[in-house]
Amino acid sequence: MPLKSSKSLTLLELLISIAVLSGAIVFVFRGLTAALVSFRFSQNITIACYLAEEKLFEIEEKQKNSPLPLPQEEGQEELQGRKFNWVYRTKELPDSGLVGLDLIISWREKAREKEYTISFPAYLLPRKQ
Amino acid sequence: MKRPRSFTLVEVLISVSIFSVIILALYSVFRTAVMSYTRIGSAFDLYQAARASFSRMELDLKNCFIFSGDDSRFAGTGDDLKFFSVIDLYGGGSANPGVCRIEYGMKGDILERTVYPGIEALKDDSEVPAQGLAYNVRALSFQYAYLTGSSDSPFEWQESWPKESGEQIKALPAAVKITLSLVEKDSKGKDAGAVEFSKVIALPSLVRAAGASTGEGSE
Repeated sequence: MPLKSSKSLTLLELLISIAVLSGAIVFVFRGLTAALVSFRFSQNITIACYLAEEKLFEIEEKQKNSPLPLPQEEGQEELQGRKFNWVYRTKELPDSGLVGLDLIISWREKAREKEYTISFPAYLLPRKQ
Repeated sequence: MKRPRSFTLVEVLISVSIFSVIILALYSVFRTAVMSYTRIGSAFDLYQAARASFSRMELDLKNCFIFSGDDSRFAGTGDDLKFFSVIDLYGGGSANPGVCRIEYGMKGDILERTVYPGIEALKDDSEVPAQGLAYNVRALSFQYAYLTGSSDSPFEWQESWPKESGEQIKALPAAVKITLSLVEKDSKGKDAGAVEFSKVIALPSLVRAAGASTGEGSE
């Protein structure tokens, strides 16, 4: 009985299979880059929190010596070669006699082309007049 | 029976070359995966070490107090720090808050924390094993905030505490700024630059005030 050999792969089929495989590899690569990018993002959050802690101490000490709420201030710091912007606003809260503070730290994620901000609200005690 | 047709040399060569392309692609994917895994791993360890050391130091410093004895005050220089604190000593398997003296300093490239618990705190020659807080440390520095009372610049960072002048001897700094520079290792275990972390730990103002006004123990 003659054995009919199965039809061999054509070049087209082969090319399609390679294309599918390379598509899959691209997804794997993307997964790797995404891991790196989100790790960098988590690093930036850590740095931003340390910066916020430092700024909060500074602002608190300034407010202790000032009878009025502090004026708005902003600036930029470079930490670990990355730029972080900070800005704070204060608002008098007449009912409580406290000063409301909103400290905002923002930075740009290059890989995601997006600006991220973290807001640190706090209450401060002004100097007694 | 018809003999099945065998592969020709050309077919084998073509299939081998296509296969090698696929293998190369797979290899590069795995290589990149392993490389980024090690990179993320070492950077993660670095951040974890910095966070762990900072949180330990924060816990110690937030509980520090001034003791009236001459040798037992808050004493800090640019690269080491000694103070009295109340911490959990974990005696006998349970949390056991107790007074102790804590010292931070560098030994080689290790950031060491030494705790002298209880009566050991008052002895100068007690032998207590130090514990490593962070390894592969390139630099460690402390700065101490001194309140000036002016509204423009309410505090100044100084390199040691207390300074020669009298009033600081019986007081705690308003805050301690710790700068920790850790060496990052690449996949071959070689140095790949250092990463600098910095944290400001504000000391509780109530304790500061009590210590400054009475100059005595302020637990």
